[in-house]
Amino acid sequence: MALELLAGPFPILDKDGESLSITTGQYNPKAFYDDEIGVLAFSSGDYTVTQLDGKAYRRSDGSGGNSGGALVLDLTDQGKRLMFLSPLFFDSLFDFNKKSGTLKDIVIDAETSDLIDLQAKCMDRYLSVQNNTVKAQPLDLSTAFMTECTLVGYGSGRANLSRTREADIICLIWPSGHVLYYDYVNKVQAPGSAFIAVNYGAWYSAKYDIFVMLTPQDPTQIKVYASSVLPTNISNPTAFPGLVKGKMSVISVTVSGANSDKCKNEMIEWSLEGPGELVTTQSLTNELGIASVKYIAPLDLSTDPIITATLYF
Amino acid sequence: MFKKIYSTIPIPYEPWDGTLPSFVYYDELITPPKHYIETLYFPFSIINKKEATRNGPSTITLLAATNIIQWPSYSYESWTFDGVTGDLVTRNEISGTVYTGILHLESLTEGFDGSIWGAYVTGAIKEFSSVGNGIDSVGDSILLSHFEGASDTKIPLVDKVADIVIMPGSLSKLRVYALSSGTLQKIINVGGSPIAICAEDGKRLYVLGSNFILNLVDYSTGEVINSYKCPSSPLGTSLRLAWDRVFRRLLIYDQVPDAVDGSSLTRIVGYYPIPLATHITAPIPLKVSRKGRTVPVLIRVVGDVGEPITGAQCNVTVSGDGIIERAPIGSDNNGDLFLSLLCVNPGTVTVTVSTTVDDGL
Repeated sequence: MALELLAGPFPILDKDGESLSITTGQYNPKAFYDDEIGVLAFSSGDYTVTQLDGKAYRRSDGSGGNSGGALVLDLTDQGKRLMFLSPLFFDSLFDFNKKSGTLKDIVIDAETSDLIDLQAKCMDRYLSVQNNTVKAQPLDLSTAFMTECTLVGYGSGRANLSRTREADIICLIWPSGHVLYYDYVNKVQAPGSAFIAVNYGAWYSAKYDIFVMLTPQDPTQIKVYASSVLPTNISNPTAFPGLVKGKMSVISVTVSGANSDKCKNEMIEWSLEGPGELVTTQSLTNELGIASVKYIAPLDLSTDPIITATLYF
Repeated sequence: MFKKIYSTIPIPYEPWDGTLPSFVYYDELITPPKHYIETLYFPFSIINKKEATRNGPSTITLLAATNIIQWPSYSYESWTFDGVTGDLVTRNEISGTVYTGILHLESLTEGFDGSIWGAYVTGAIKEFSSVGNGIDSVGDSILLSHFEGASDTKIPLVDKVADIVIMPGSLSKLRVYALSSGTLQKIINVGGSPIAICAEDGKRLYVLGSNFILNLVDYSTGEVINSYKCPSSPLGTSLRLAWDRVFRRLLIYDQVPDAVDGSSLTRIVGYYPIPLATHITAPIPLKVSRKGRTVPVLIRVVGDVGEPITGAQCNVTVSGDGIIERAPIGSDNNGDLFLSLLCVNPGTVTVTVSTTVDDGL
């Protein structure tokens, strides 16, 4: 299902209005979105914070060994914290102060590149999501990453991970634009899917119930998507049961997106030309994308009424 | 950006009386239109003291090296200003045993406990007794080699009660040592390579990086509590910090070039250390807009490192095919304001947001 664009694209500009190139990457995601801070990334070695409208600020220099490392989601504190995977050899993992862009205590010093696939820390293991596979590794690194779930409807490449409003569910978004959900406690794919767009990085915002995306170009730009599907089609109204003199029928339409995805919570306005009466003039689509209204046919119904459903943008 | 709440007068120079010394150094200082016998070279320190003046309870003293036109071409001066009015209270040449080796003195820094510590380019630190007309050493020099793995002793910040000294490490790091044993206790990553430091309250300190990022740090936990942009001039090169414990303000010495006539333009400025708004983000609708739908709109207020501004009051106006259903009150801890917008017709809505910022003096 194709999500609807809310805002953007916004070019990423520094305080002087100059275009800023932030480090993105599909292999090791070097950018990250955080509701409290914004889009976190590195630019020319500096730790940079970018707001949703593209305004970017350098918050620390990267000379403390920060430049080029990857940010890792720490799910042990409801995903509010981040960790940092050292650049070059990806062999050290640190707690990370996202407010200041500075490293804190070292968590793992693997002295090898064993951590290169690491994307999230859970209470009992590390996670990595690539193509259709969710892999896990013990916190003590005693074994290599092992497959714990195979996903259906996946994208290609390494997914970006973000927390959701459900404590046990994380959102997975691939560079190809596919969006899936994963229950990392029960180790199963969670219901739901979507499609955003090809990207250099995309994340779900649990606080705002939106998606934040970096466009696949250099310099990248920011787009903000709704969590709802963009409607592209509304069906002709149908009556059930058929219109009968003096009886009531339910008139329904289905609203759907580009991939026949069902559009929920869309307001339909109903109008009537001809005999009879509509009980209401508005109704919302349900989870199946269906909006309905009741029609009462007159006892002397002789010609078919014209019932029109309109979706206003 | 902080609110400016205090300023001294420009550091006063002594005017040239027209008399030429037997040999003139820095003759550009008295080449018209310039007519002062001295210019600031670099600062050692700014020190805040609780001592009464006729206007208030505290003074602020600048200790600095100057270039002068007569032999020996340099001087070491202290200017003391009223902590309330910013007027000059007294000026003296620095004296005392600090004068021995002062050519190598890089900085004087007031510790958490009020002790004053000098740092030497030769790689040593030394405690001094007091600030004013006479500054005398208290103990022997402690060499760089005393501190485990230390590479730099400049701007040492001491807490004698806790037996701690904090010094810059390589790159963007602070290194925390036991003062007595020199044992390295902690390394704290900060936002930039430290060029100035001062103690705040408790175990907190401000550290300024060469990129003008100012961090508030708790050295006992190693936590960087906040990041700010230092309100320095673009030309500022020699900066010093001090925390005014009396008026709870951050004092910044930011040396700037002299005026055309040679007079100083450099002041010590006090700031209320709460960041001010410098940017309001473009309004972002959080739901798709439809006729008849109420759409929450996100507006974020941030400071000049993108830090959230809490409690900002904004004026919001709307034109076009929507009306305000509920106006935002004040920004939350993330700097977020939420506007409820009712879309009354298909079409477009223009949201305009503004706020007023009082940047002080």
